[in-house]
Amino acid sequence: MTPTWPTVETNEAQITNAGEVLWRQITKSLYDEDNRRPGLLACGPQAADARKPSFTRSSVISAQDSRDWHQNHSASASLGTWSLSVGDVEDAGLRAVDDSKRPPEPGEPGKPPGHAYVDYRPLTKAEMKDARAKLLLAMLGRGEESTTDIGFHGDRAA
Amino acid sequence: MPDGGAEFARIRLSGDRFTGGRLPVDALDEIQRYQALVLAAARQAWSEEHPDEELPEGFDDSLKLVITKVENGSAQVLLERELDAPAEYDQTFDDAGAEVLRELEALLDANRPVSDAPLFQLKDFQAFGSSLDQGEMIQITSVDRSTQRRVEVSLSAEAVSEDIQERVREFASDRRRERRNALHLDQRAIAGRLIALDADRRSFRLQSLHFGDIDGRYDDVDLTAALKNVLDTSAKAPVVRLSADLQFRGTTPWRIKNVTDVEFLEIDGQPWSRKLIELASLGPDWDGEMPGAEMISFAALDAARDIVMHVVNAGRTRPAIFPTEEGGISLEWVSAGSIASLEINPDADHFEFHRLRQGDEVGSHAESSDIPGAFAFAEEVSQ
Repeated sequence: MTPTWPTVETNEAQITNAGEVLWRQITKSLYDEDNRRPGLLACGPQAADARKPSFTRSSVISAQDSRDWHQNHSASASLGTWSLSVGDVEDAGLRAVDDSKRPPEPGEPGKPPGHAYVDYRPLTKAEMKDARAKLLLAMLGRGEESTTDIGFHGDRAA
Repeated sequence: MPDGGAEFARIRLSGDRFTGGRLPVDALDEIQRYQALVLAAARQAWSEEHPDEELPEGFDDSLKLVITKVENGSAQVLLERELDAPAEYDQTFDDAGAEVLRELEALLDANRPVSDAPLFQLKDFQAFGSSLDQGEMIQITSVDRSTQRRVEVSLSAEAVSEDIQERVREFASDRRRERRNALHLDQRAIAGRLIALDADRRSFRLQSLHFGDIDGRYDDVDLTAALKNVLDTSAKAPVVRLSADLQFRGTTPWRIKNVTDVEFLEIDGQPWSRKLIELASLGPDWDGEMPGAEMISFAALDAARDIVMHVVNAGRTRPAIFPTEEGGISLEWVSAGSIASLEINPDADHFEFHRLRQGDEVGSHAESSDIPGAFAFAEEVSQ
């Protein structure tokens, strides 16, 4: 069933190029260190992201620069960069939205260049579980992107 | 300590001047400095334990060390506290003696920053060993009463003239940064193995996953029973999570104070035990990584351990273990083209099952309110 999507906000734009790749930074709690792969929560959504887990666009920023930005500006270290294509997102019944031009709300942390989100908002809990499992299968199929860790210097670290 | 003359420390001075158990009067300087350092460490510890309070009357006099014996074999000096010293500060002075040795060890390790030895700001510390002549050595030995571990630190005249003086220079340049690293308290939870408990002094030692051993204290006498029960229940050092005030030195936890709650996690030394301890150690918001996330409940961790053990005993594949934002656990099995998850809620009385195969439009969803239902799902998906 096609969800009823909320209107894309001013300064936001749905990403329609199915071939474009989106980067996702994987932090410790999202990562299975024994098997060296992310878990379901890595594909979102999470309470803090308002059902809009964060990604960055490969058309704007490289996987390495995306990870570097995360290491310099986030609250926790990235253990690696994983990816999805916009087509993967659409196949899971979701949509990808570029919100990089939307100014941050008061208290909202800064966004990396090419910031985008995967929109889970209209999904029921069961749909959400199906969608994130589909995304994780796609993400695992693509494998980890090759990046180098510059070390964590996050300016929002607890 | 002391119950009438218990040994506080032993100082051995080696070199020609000390042969035959002779103790030159000059060497008494070092023993006086040692006493001054222990007292300074004790004063500091007491003030940190009792912010905004004056030191009690007679506190300083409680640490009058006496030389009870000078033994042969270089000059070996046995130090005790005075026989009538009040017992109420025993632990404080014991800790202070251990702190002096810990800091001295830190100073002699070129790989450790001088900030690991905050007592070094005292002239008595910077001058410690300065009366030694070339080829002489001072050795201090004491027993850490909480672990019964014998601690021994040796300092040569060469180390004093080279290493310690280098540290003095380092200290001068490091002082501003040291000030920034002032002690502060943070109320939070910390998990680890309980490795020592002194019920009389209401003190304990916790081996934390991320920060090493941390000493702690509690005020509520009722917690003694809870902590003893935990120790009696487990064959090896049990894993506990304490809700308490955590005192930091800079970014490093240094002391645990005012414990208000103790939770016990039965850990069985299995390959997945470290992961469970790691999850038990997560604070609220998972320490900044996941805003809004709850601490992981021990009920969910217990249930996760039982389910993992069940599938492993059945010869099946062990799942990956993840936290959930609600404070529960997600067990996940990934195989080629299939993902299954079993979510345990924080009270461990509700289990949600999900499975999706590659190409499925819709996954299968189920739930149970009892753990046998969770066992059955886990067995099915872990084949």
